[in-house]
Amino acid sequence: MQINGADFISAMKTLGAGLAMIGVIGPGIGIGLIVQGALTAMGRNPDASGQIITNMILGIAFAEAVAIYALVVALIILFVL
Amino acid sequence: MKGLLILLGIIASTVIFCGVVPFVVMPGAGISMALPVISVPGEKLWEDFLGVDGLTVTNTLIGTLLADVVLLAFAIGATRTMRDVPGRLQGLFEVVTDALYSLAKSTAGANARKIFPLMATIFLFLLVANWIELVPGVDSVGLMHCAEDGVNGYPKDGVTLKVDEPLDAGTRATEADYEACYAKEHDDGEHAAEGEATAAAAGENSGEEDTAARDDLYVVTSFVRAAATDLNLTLGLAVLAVLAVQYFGIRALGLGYFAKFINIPALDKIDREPMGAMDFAVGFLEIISEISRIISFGFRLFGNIFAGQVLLFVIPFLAGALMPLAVYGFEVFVGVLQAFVFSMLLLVFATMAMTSHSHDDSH
Amino acid sequence: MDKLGINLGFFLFQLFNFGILFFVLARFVWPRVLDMLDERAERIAKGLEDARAAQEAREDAQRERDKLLSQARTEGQKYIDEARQRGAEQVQLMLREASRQADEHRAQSRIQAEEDRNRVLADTREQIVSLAMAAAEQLVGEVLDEERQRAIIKRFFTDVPAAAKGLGKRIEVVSALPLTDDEQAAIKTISGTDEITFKVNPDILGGLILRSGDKVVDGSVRGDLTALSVRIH
Repeated sequence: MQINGADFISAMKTLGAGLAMIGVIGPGIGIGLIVQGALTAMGRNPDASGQIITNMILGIAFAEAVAIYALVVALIILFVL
Repeated sequence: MKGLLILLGIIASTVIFCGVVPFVVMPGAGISMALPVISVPGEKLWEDFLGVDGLTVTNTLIGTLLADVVLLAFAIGATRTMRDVPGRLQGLFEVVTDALYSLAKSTAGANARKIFPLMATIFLFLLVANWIELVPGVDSVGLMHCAEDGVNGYPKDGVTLKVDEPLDAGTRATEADYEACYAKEHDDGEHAAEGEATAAAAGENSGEEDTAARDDLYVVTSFVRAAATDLNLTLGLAVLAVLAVQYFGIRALGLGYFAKFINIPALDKIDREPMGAMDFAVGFLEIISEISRIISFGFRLFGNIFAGQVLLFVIPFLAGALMPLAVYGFEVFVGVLQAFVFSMLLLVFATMAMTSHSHDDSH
Repeated sequence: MDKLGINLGFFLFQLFNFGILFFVLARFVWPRVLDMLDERAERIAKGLEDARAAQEAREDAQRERDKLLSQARTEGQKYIDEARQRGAEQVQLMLREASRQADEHRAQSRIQAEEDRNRVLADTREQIVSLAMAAAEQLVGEVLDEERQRAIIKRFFTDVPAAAKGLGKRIEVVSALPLTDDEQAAIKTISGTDEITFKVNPDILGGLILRSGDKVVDGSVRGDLTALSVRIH
């Protein structure tokens, strides 16, 4: 099987997109920590769970934003570049 | 007992429709499945729709309109005749809106009534739009279109694609193939000439390739695709949400709202509080933060729903027996969750914008 | 951007589409729903408030009732005690009164009885005396024949009471039997006067009665009997 330039570029794009998505490791850990903290808090104070869930989702959203940057980069590598 | 029967029914139907039918029955009848097309942009269904030049209809657009129709029918049908003792439709609508409203009240307090209409509209619209993806036939029934560059296409056989064997990968179309196919399909001199020219150019660029462009590579473009798999929708909603947050902030705080971005009050008393310079610098970060919110709003929604769609495409080919059931359930959850997250974040950001920051900084 | 499908036309279309959707819902659906939800929340809150108020009112009433009840009970107890005490006093008083009255009655009746008895005794004595007198008179009457009459008169003459002498000038002599001349003469000598009226009255049973003005010398049997009966009384 011969590999020409275009194939090489597309292979590299795929590889690059995959590498870009490594960036979701951090947010993954972060979201885990956020949820852990929220669950601990809810276990300690079940009455406040509504407020805690709201703030938890907010925190997850901020952490997830970083993963989304990785996704955007991956998508740009795959489709735009 | 009833639960057990339902469980067995679910298992049987997933095994039959995700395993037996596509991999045993259909090949036996000489039919095979084509691999689904995964495309980020909404796929074009009709160009120059109804003869209007430049009016292109994509399947995500259809999905959006369908979500509109369903939501309007639901909302208006549920509230057309408000009764004290609600019927089923009204009851369902009230349960959802009541939960949202109490959430808004607990977060935004007195401002809940101002934010609620936008928040609830976004929530319900996204909920319907996300769940449309899960209706059988959506994403799978459609028209045959020419395979675009980089997409694996199949020859046409009457009204179906000609797929030789299960998991036939098809043939990867190049731009030249697409142009040739497009020219043949439209039988339009202008386009054909253009197509030939492009094909020739493509041929020149990759000299070592087989330059004979195929004109018989087709893919199925589904009629309906989940609206949130189109970046136009998600970014549009994101821009709208961020603008709405600014609007709420200005309406609540007046021009003082902009002190959040360009912190002149902090510069005023910089001789007394030198650290106010930090506040001033942070104000610019706020501007960046507002802009990045558009990106995170839009791409979060898009990424989740698009990933769900891809998962639904791919999982039946990886593990056809029971996994699609689990993924289906998960997608139901993701659909609600993303709608909720979007509206919730809008609510929280709007509440933050409507509460004055000078009090927070003063302590 | 085109590869990602981002396209100004579609973008604007989506904005426009959502704008219309929002407008329709915000115009026709949300106000009604929100009004209804607010109203319902208000109604529920009011209902809860009412229920709480009713609960409070009930508890108040309960407390009030308990208070009144206990108050009434204490008061009742007080009254009962008082009544009991007063009753006891009353009883004591009544007993005392009764016993006093009884004593009085007893005493009175004793006196009465005494009097009655005395009266009865007196009556009886009188009757007995009268009976006895009657019987005696009868006996005396039957017994006193002429001879004895004469004997009695003779004894009068033999044993003349001192009062008979010098009685007065006009003397009335009552006898049971007509006096003989001797006897008349004897009387004349005893009394010392001639103006003597002789009367016969069998009722005197026997003997003589000399009367001069308001002076009386009773030597009659009847006089004796009367003296006897007086002595009996």
